[in-house]
Amino acid sequence: MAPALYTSPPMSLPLQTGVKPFYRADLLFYGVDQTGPSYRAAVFFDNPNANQDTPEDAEHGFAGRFAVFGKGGCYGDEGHCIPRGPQHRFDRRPPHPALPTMKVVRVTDRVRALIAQGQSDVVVTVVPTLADTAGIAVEGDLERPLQFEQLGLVTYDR
Amino acid sequence: MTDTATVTDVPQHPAGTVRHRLSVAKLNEQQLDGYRTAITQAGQFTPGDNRGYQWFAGQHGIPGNFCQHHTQSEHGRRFFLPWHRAYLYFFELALQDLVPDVTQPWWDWTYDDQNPIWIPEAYAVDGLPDGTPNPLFRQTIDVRPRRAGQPQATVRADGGPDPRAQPTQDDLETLLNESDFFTFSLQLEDIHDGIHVAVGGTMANIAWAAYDPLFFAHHTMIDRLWSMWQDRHGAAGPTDDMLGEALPPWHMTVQQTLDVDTLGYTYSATSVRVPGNV
Repeated sequence: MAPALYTSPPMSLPLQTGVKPFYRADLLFYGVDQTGPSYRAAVFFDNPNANQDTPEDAEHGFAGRFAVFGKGGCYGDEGHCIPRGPQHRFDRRPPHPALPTMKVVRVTDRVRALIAQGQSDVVVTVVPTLADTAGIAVEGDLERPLQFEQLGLVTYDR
Repeated sequence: MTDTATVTDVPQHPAGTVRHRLSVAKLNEQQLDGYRTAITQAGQFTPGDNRGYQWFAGQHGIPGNFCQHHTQSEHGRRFFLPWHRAYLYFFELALQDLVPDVTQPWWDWTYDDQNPIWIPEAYAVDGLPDGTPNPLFRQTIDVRPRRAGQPQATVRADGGPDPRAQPTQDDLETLLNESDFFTFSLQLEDIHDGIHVAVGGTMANIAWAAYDPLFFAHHTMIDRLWSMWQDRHGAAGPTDDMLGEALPPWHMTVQQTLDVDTLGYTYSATSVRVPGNV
């Protein structure tokens, strides 16, 4: 079974009229789980029907991609992969490796194109494709490898 | 009188000069043999011996768990490049203890649609002409105690060139022109992740990735790009508050990773040496 997709609610596109134009636009995926399988994720704009077979081209709304290099499960004893934070301000241990990560996809040209078409918002669909494990066992949610806390669309001015 | 040196007389690397890390695709037979010999000999140590391949491979994922670059926090993410530079430095030194003049080669996975390449032949062939296994193709994963389902050797997917994962030369040019270190680092890390996923198998799993010799060639390419970025952007780089930070388990701070010359290496594509006449 193909892994589950994600489709966002409409996200507002930035105003461009009467203001300084942005030079860069990023999609920010916050809190991306990386404890499970590795996968590649294709990002589509305004194509909620996109799936693993959809061509990655502008005609089909392709906007970019990212990859998650996952841990593929927990290999310690019970509790090993439960993230712990600093115990106190003197705790200089590095962050727990099982904490979620963040992914950034640069979508400057695609956002500009949508605005030029007069659109005021965009729906983002993310299509994960699992890495070929070549037969090795991988733990984690293979049906929902793509799990993240928030999606942001950010632009930058010079 | 003419002093004639033969090509087999490769002299020891001149003391006090930096060594050259070379392109995997352009290693000559002698260089490739030397590197394979070093990997083979490193593989003969028991897993707990910190001179051996298993020990080094185990520091990244299982059992060491030292690689910190995948965490979301600003602290963890910023160490992606320095931590792996330190890792490669100590790994390369361990190989040079076995075969003095070897350097860690880099795998250029840049995508060229006129000449699509993927895993270099040096790493892709199972066996060598003399009938021995290719140590760059597969390595044992000797982590004890074993868990059910734990891989016992490295394996890769049967994929080929993948332009969805491989950046083009233009992509890299854009990346190298990025002036902000953290933006550069983040983007390079994402390219890095994509290559891991595209190779698949144990390379696509943080726990086991570093057991595959291809891991080190991949990360040497990453380090090479950082070195090229440093050449363009001078002193720009990790912020002052990072410089004194240690990079466990490596006996090195962020500051000490910043200048590859002081670490005794540089990047070129090919390099040959012959004896002089003294």
